[in-house]
Order: sequence, then structure tokens, then C-alpha cells
Amino acid sequence: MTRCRMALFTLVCCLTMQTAWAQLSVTFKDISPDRSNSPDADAASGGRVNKLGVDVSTPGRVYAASEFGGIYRSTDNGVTWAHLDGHVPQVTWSVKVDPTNSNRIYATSFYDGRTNSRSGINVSTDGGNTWTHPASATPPVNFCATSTRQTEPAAFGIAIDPANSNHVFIGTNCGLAISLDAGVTWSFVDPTPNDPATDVRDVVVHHGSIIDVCGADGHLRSTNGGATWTTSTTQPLQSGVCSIVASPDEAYVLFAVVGTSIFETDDGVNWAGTYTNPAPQGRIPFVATNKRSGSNYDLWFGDVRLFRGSCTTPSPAVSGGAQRCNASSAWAGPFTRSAGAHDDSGDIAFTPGSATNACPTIFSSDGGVFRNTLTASPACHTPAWTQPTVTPHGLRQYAFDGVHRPAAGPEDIYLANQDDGTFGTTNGGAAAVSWNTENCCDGFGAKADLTRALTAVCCFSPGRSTLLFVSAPGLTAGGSPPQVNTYPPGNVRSFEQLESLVSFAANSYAIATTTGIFVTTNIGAATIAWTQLGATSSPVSPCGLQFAASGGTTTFFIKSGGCNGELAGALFRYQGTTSGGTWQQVTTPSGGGGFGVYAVDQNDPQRIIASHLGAPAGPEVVLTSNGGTTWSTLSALNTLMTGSGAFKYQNQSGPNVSSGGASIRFNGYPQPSLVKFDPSDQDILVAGAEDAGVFISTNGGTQWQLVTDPISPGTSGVPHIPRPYFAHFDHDPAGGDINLFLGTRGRGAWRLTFKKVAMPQIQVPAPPEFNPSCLGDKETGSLKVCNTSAGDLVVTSITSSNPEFTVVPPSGGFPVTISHDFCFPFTVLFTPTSAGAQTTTLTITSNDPSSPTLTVQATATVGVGSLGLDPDVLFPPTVIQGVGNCHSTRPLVVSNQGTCPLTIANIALGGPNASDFSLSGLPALPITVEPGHQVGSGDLTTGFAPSDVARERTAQATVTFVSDPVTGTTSTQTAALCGEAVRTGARVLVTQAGVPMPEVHEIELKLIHGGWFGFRKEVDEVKKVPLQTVTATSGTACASFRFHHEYGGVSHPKQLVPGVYQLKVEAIVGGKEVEKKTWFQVETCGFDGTIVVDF
Amino acid sequence: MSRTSLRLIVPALSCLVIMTSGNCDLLAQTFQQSQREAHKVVVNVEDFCSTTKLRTSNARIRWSMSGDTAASAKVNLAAAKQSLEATVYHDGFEKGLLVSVPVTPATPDRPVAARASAKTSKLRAYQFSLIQLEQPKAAAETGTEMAAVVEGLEPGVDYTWRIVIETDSGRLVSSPTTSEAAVCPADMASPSPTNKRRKR
Repeated sequence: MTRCRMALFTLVCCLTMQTAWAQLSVTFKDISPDRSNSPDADAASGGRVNKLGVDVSTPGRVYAASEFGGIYRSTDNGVTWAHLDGHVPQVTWSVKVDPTNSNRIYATSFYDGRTNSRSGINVSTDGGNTWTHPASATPPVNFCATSTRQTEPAAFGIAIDPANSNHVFIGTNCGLAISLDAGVTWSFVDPTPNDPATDVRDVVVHHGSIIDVCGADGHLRSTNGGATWTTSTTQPLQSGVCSIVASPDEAYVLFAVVGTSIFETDDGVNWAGTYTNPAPQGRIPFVATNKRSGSNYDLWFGDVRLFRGSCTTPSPAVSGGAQRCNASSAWAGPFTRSAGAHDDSGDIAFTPGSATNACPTIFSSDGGVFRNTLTASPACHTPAWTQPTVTPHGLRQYAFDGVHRPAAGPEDIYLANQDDGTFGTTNGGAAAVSWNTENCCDGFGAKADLTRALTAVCCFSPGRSTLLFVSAPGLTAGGSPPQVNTYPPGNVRSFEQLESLVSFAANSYAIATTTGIFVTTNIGAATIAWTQLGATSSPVSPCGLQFAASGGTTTFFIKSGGCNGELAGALFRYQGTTSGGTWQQVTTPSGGGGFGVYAVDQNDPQRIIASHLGAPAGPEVVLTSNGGTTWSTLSALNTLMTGSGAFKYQNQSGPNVSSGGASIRFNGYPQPSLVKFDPSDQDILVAGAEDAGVFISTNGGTQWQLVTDPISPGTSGVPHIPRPYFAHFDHDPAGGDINLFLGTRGRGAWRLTFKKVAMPQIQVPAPPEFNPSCLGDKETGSLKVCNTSAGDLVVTSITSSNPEFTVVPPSGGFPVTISHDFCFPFTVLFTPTSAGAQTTTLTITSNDPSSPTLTVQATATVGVGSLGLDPDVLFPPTVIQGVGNCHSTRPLVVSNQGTCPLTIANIALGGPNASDFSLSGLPALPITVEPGHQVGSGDLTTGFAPSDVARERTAQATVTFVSDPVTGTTSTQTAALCGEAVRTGARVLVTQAGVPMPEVHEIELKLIHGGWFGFRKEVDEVKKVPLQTVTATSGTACASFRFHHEYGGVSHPKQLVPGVYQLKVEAIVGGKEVEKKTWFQVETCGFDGTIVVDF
Repeated sequence: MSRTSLRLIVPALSCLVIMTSGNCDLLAQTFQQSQREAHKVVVNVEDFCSTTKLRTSNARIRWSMSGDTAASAKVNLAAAKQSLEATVYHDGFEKGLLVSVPVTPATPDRPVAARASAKTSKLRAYQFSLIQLEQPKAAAETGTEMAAVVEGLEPGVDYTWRIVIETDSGRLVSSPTTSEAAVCPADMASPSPTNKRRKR
């Protein structure tokens, strides 16, 4: 009840903080039995518990690692146990407490299904309340035998160096992990470095930090902190699941159990000694030593049962010699079922702080944990165990059922548990559920009606191993129930997670056996008549029996193969209860494959929900409403099955249980573990995942809500319920509440209470669109949020990842309620602060159960003004001022080539000969130029009026413009100006067929007086005139050119007076002298720089 | 277990352990042949709990070769002399710590026991038997695939398996495959009850 109140309180807290998440308000109660009321210790209530961790410093504090249910803690020496929700990996192996620091705890676990796994090694520094998975606790890439061992980590035995508690050693599926700083950082060592790292199952550190490990590589020893390792070449330890321990007196004496065999080495290397296992089975056998007095110590061994051997250290203690302990035939015990504790041992813990004769205090096994009622030595060494007042709630159901009874409290619930037998209650809906324990051991079936319960229990010998018992409702009658008076042919199916027993009407039961599927319509008959359904077409390996009743006809469904639900199998249906029918296979969805877990609507045989496995597209959950003719993918549920990517839908080496077996295998699994229709309301369905949580739909499977917390249950207060496999609905609680009972693999039984509410569905048809904008502007876009399903959609917030985008709160503020089939246009304001394409992620938080946070990507384009400026302005040769008032001009094009206005702050001339240049047509500055426009509208020009003859006169025009309109930041660009200063004259270039001639024989120039045809006066005559080249200075706007002769230029500065000139050029062409004449006129400010005479 | 190093070391050591006749020089050549062909014989292991015997760990060992390999080696698995070898030790084949079972017809009622060396004959892990030979119909004609079911493995122990096939041109030794024997716990309730109700 405390848990329930706490969960409710926290949920209310969360409702306040995060209304949308908790749209479907659920309260939780762990209804697992606190203890068994059976006198048979093998009918226990704790479930499988593996290893124990004792707090040396804090009296009474002890930890237990359960097989599939996480870590438990007791603070009263094992009287009551509580689940540590902060430790998220639920498939745990071991837990140990730092002997010098009560708050520092180490725990190991198997792969937790997460994309970024937290499994393997976990460390707590607050006594187990919160846990971390250090980053360095993941093995390095390419270190492990397979990559999967690195991405899907698992860890096993833990050892803390007695000589230095900061030194911690943990066996993993990828070698030995070592921490030298109390778990803060880790490194990985492969004891067999010549091959890739594999399983190190157990480790012990003793006698001056000697490390001994066992596992897939047998036994190896290191005496130098793991740097190097030694092993036997002649008598090694076999490989496999193991436990290893050292003698308290001799460093070279070790005991180990591998598989089911017990070994001893008396030289630290060779394992020559053996002991016969008194009761082998091999789930997790262990060895432990306990120092007694003098040279004596005990060797505790647990497999099916617990035994105590007596050992003696020889005097003097020397390596080798005889085995140290007595033969197992003389061991004391057994100390399990006959001593008050469930068989199938896990671990034993001793009173902390006692150097000798420490009493065994806690024992773990497949029935949970047990306390020794004898607390004084020597009596305590022959333990008398008792179950706790509140055991760990680690029961694993193989079968589960509920029978509806009117009113809230009464409800028959049945648990058929692995190892711990059958439990029943008639008040499953009550505040305090009262459980009755009927049979011990492996419960494989539990189905009931209002007058009786039928349970399948294993294992009996001789004869049938699994028997069918007929009991009173709630298993309340007490005593040993009778078996059915007549068994159907074949053996009752066993060790399978999918049930093979159903109660389909009053007195009517069906069962799948190793022979076929059988029904009876009168289980109470003096001689039960079993009818085989469709013998000739009966599917092989039938399991997962279900039924639907519609129109007076019962239709049965059976799965063939994959009987734990994690592997694909075929699904068959059979109509009626008579024998002559035929089993028809249900069509699989497209893509092939088969079905994993499935459920049929008990009121409609056409309606089936199932996990679809083995298809190329990967696992998915699908639903059909026409018996399998067509299937629809439940997208919202599939997204939740992976926690939107937090979990792998299918992993490779996650802990699973092989069909027909009952121990963990690292074979991997898909997430779906449960699907179920509510037979009282076709809109309601429940689904569950191995790791990703429990999901409820109230609209027929379209929308789903995660109702548990697989991510941070330690802080949210909402429990993580892994591996739900069974469900039962009850609609009788007051106020419209619905009770949902869940049975799990290793996390007990739960009751979830909720009200049916309509589930909205958020939809954003399109992201908001924004017009192209300019820096400094503001644009708005419309974010249309729609509700496409029933129930009000409540949008509580919309946030933007980019501050340039803001969501304008609606006039009424948040939250905004959107009715079914309506949309609400939220305004998104875009205020750009930088140019280019801008993107934001808009996160919409709502009460959509499947998508409580929906993200929408939005993009806007921001333009800018862009300065266009010709980089080079080259003037023609211009006559200097000393000759006349001469000058030349060129346009200076300063334009805006961008998409937004551009502000020109200044245009100025500078450079070495800036005084030769000038600007005209310059408007008042600053000026804003629109896109595509020019400064001065085309009238802006530069002028060149040189004063001295020179090849190059240079300057630059610098344009200063506002490059960031938001901040006003300015930038500059320059245009290079260049002009040649000359006197009046001309420049002659002689070519032959367009190619400049290397040399010209003669150039003669004559001034013509009296007009074009007047008297000629020779002005100049030059012979053998070479071709000259003028190369422009790099980085200027100046141009290179070639000529043979010039007048008024730098090489021949004599100016030509204004007038008409005759130019005669003689050249040698083809070995002959030829000549050409041409005429040109020189104006007052004239200089013809392009007189070309071509031969 | 180093698969690569194992393949390299197997020939020489197996010469000492497996072969019971012939001289070692000749055998070395044979083992070179084996090494060359090893990768062409593929072994897969499926561990499971017996459906007929409680607490009994079984395994189905399948081995196959391509049709080309079978043709070139002139091997028909249905008729060839073969043995199934296992070790429970790291580098156990190299150390000679192995057990061998002749691949011959067997049934649960007439099992074929594994044979270990004197040094390991008492080991619990080696107290298993071959109880069934299987050959898929499709492979029966070509003789390229076989399977053997073994019963009574020691639960939780890592078995490394390989197949040795006698051929006219020598011996083919498969690459080893390691697998953990299934653990098959079953909680024994009590002797079967009668149908009389008992007082609680």
C-alpha cells in the first residue's frame, strides 16, 4: 500500500509538472505476495534471487540481485525487502558492498535492451538509491570476441580486494573489468590476450591481491594486478558458468564449481581435486568458504540443495597435498527445503565482521531469500531458515488468470509461477490482496471459472511430470487439491511462456498437450471427456492457446512454435468444439515471417493483435479486423516499443529463456512481450515490452500511451514494469476505474488502475512557411496543430530550438485545447539575426499519449543586401594637365546585387595617386540602395586628370556599406583605378597577319600642313625598331600592352602637336622590304594608343 | 577460444591424440589437408533441454559442407566415417583434453556413449551420449548435411565441438564451435500425489 500511495503522490506531482504526459492517469500497486502461506519451502514467494551483498558497516543492510526483477534491499537483516527502482537494468546477477563505505555499491546485470545500454556494471554511491553506469564501464571497441558483447554488455561476479577496497574486479562478457578508484573509472583486461575477450563469470581476489578468475577460458591467475595470467596446461579448470572461492588460509587452495562439477586446486594451478555434487542441477551453483576456528573452515556448496563441508588446513600449510575438505558424502545438510528454504541455491551470506565462526545469515535461491533463525555459533552453522515477512517480489509467471467477480475488491487472480508454485486470491481488487499458496514448484497453467480453478504444476515423478489440479476459486480450499480425473492424451506442455490452457465457458476448458489440442465442456464430470480438435490437421508444437466466442460459436487459436513468444511461429484457428473441423492457418502480414505474441478479441475472432517477427522489415505489432486477410501496422505502438529509439526493437544477445528450458540464454529478443484486448471494452488494449514499458490504448489501438517509466523510475516514482506477459481487466472498481492486472517474468504481479479517457491524436499537416525576409525584418508563419482523434487535444507548450523563431502565445495563453477534427493556427514569429537559411525545431508538448512531444522542423530564408562593385577601372591614356585641361572619365558602378536593401555609408578615393582621380555624380551619403539598383542611378563616375607623364597612375575607390543591418556593422570593398599619363601623341604597333613583328625596319612620321593633302614635314624617323612590352604592375587595374614606337609616352615623351600625321612603316616581309602608310589626327588632348599597321 | 590459433595448432597435437595408427609424418600431411579443408565444414550447435527427460541438457550439432567440397573430397556425409569431438577446456583440443563420439546410428534407447581419454574419462562433462542422427531430406541425396543429437551434457559448461570426417585423401576437421550447454532446472514437487485431499 505504501508503494501505491507513493506512486499516486508522485504521479499527481507529475501531473502538475507535466500534464500532457499523464493524460491517462494510472496508479500502480505491486500486488505480488509478500510471503507464502504454504508449509512447503519450495512454495515460496520471492522468485529467483541470484547473489547477495552484505553491508559490513551498516548492521542489517543487505542487498539481493534477482534474476529478472532488479535489485532489492533490506535494512532489517532480511526481514523485509524493497525494490531499488533507481537500478534500471532488471536482469541482475550480483551485488556487492564496499566494506569500507556503506554507500558504495556495485551491481552487475545483463543487457537491458537499450540503444545506449546501462547494463553490465552499475555503481551507487548512496546506498543503492541512485546508480550510474560509468562511461568507461563499456569495453573498448574491437576488444570483445564479438561487437555485440560491446554494445550489449553483461557482467557477472564481483570481487573487492580485501587489501584495498578501491580495487574492484568484475567479470564481464568481455573479459575482466578493473577499477582502481572505487568504481569511478574502469579498464578491461583479457586474461587470454591471444584471443578476443569472452566471458569471465566469476572472480575472487585474496591473499595479497591475487586474482583468480573462471569462465569461458577456464581458470586463470594473476599475481600482478591483471597484467599477466597463468593457467594449467595439464589439469586446467573446465570452461563455463562457474563460481570460485579461495581457502581462507592458503592462497594456492581454490574451490570452484563449473557447470555442476566441484573442483579443488591445491597448488593454485592444477585442478586435480574433485567432489561429487550431492544434488546436481546447475542453474547457478556456488561455493563459499567460512573460517571457523584454528585451522578449520567450512566449504559451503549450493546447487539444488545447500551443503556444508568441513575443511582443514594442513600444518604446516604447504602447496599440494590432499584435498582440504571431507568427501561430499559426509557433508552436512541438505539445508534447503528440509531446513525451511527453497531449493535451487543462489548465494549465502555470513554475519559481517566476524573473523571466525560467522553465522550464515541470509540464503538466496529460486524462492527468494531466507533468514537463518539461528544466530549464535555453533548452532547457526546448521541453519534453520525462514522466509522474510516481505520477500522480494521477483515472481515469474508461466501462467496467469483472472476471473471477474462483481464489485471492486473481489476478483479472482491466479499466478502459476516458475519455481514457486501456484498462488490464488479472491480479492485481487482489494487494498490488501490475500494470497493462498497451493502447490510448490513450477506452475505452468492457471485457468479458472467462477466455481473452480484448474492449475498445471510440475514436476512430479514417477509418471506424469506435470499434473492438472482442480481447486476451489482463489485456491482457498487448502490442502492438496485433486487432480483431474481424466487427462487428455499427451503430456501437459511445460516450460513455455505462452499458455496452453484456457477456460472458454463455464465448466469448459481447452488444453494443448504434446499430442494435440483437446476440449471438454464439463470439467466437473465424473469422467472428463476430452475431444481432440482437428486431429488430422493439428499444428505441431502447439502453444499459446486462446479463444473467441461470437454468435454462439467458439473459435480457438493456437500458435505453432516459438512458444516463449520471442520467436516467429505460425498461427492457426479452429472453429467449434467438435472434433471434425480443420485447423486453418492465419495469414501473416506481407513480408512473410510469423507471429510472436498475439491476442484475439474474445468477443470477435476476426480481431487479432500480434507481434510480427521474422520479416525483413523487422519486428512490428500489427492488428487485423478481418481474421488476418489484411493487417495494419500499429505505428504509434511500434514507436513506443522502442521508446522512440531508446530501445532496440530486436537485440542480439539480450537475456532470454529458451523454449523448454528455465534458465537464461543470451539469444536476444524482440521487445513485444504482451498484447491483449479488454474483453469488456473493444476500445481498450494493453501491450507490453520486455524493456520499454507498458502501453494502453483506449481507441482500439490507434493511439497508445506509455504508462510505466522504463527510463528513470527511481526519480519519477512511476514504476518500471519489465517483461509483462499477462493481463486481466476488471471494470468493477467505483467511479469508472478500470483495474488492469499484469503478470510478469520476474517482476511479480501488478494492479494498474485508470479511467478510460478518449485519446487525442496530434497532427501537424505541414511546417510553418515564411516569406523570404531581410535582416531586421519580422516574418510570421502559421503552425497548424490538428486533433485527428477523439478526446480533446491539450497543447501545453510549443518551444523553439532557435531563438530567431518564437511561438506567439495565443491570446488565452497555454494550454490550448483543440477539439476532435479541429486545428489551431499557432503563430510563429521569425526575427532573423543572421543571413541565410535558418532552421528551428518546434517542440509541441501535448496530451497525445503516443506523441507527448512532437517535433516539427521549420525553415526560413533570410536575404541580405550585397554590394556589387567592379573591381578594376582602367582609364585610356590621358594627356597631362601641363598640356591642357585634359581628362578622361569612367563609370563607377556601385550596385546592390542582393535581395534586401543595402546601405552605402561612404565612397572615397585613396591610394598613391589619388589626386589624379576624382568622383562625380555622387549622391549624399549614406544612401540605401534597393536590390538591383545603383548608387547615383548610373551617373556616378570617376575622372582621371594626371599631372605627370607616367605608365601607371593608380588609386582606389573604397565603398563602405552596412553589412549587418541588425548591428550596423560596416564593411568595405575597393575598386582599383589605373590610368596612363601621356602627352598628346600616339602609339604604333606593327603586326604581320595580326601578330606583332619582332622588329620593324623603319617608322617615319610626317606632319601634314594645310589639311589632309597639304605639305608634309617629317617629324620623326626611326630604323630597326624593336617590339617593346609594358607589363602592368600586379594587383593594379592597369593593363599590359606592346608597341613598336610611341609619341608622347614614357619611352618617347615628345608630344605631337595637334594636326594630321602620315605614318609610313617599312618592314621586311618574306625577305622583301615592303611599306605601308596610314594617317591619323591628333587633337588638343588627343593620344591615339591603338595605331596598328598590319602587313 | 581462439578459432584461428586453434586451426593452426590442431593438426600437430591431434596427431598425438586422435590418430591411432600410421606414422606422424604421413599424418602431418593429412592434417595439412585437414587444415586446408577445415573452413569448408561448418558446424552449428543448438542447445536445448530435453522434452522427455527433466533436467537433461541436450544439443543438436549440425554440420554441413558445400556440394563442391563434398565432390572434391569424394565425401558423402551419410556414408562417411565420422566422429564428433568435444572439449570443455580452453584450447582443449590442443591439450588433448577431448572426448570423441563415433557418428553412428543411435536412438534414445540405444545411445552411443562418448569416449574420453583416461585422463578425462571420469569428467561429468564427458558423460554424454549420441542419441539420434538426423539428415534433412533435401541433403540426404547429396550427403552434404548431417545432425546429431547428444544427451546428458553437463549444464552450464562450455562445449567446443568439431567434426572429423575420414576421406580417401585424408581427414577433414571442421572449425570448432563453442556453445554453452543448456541449464534445465526443474523443481521437483514431490512424489506424484494421489487424488485424495489432504488436510492442510
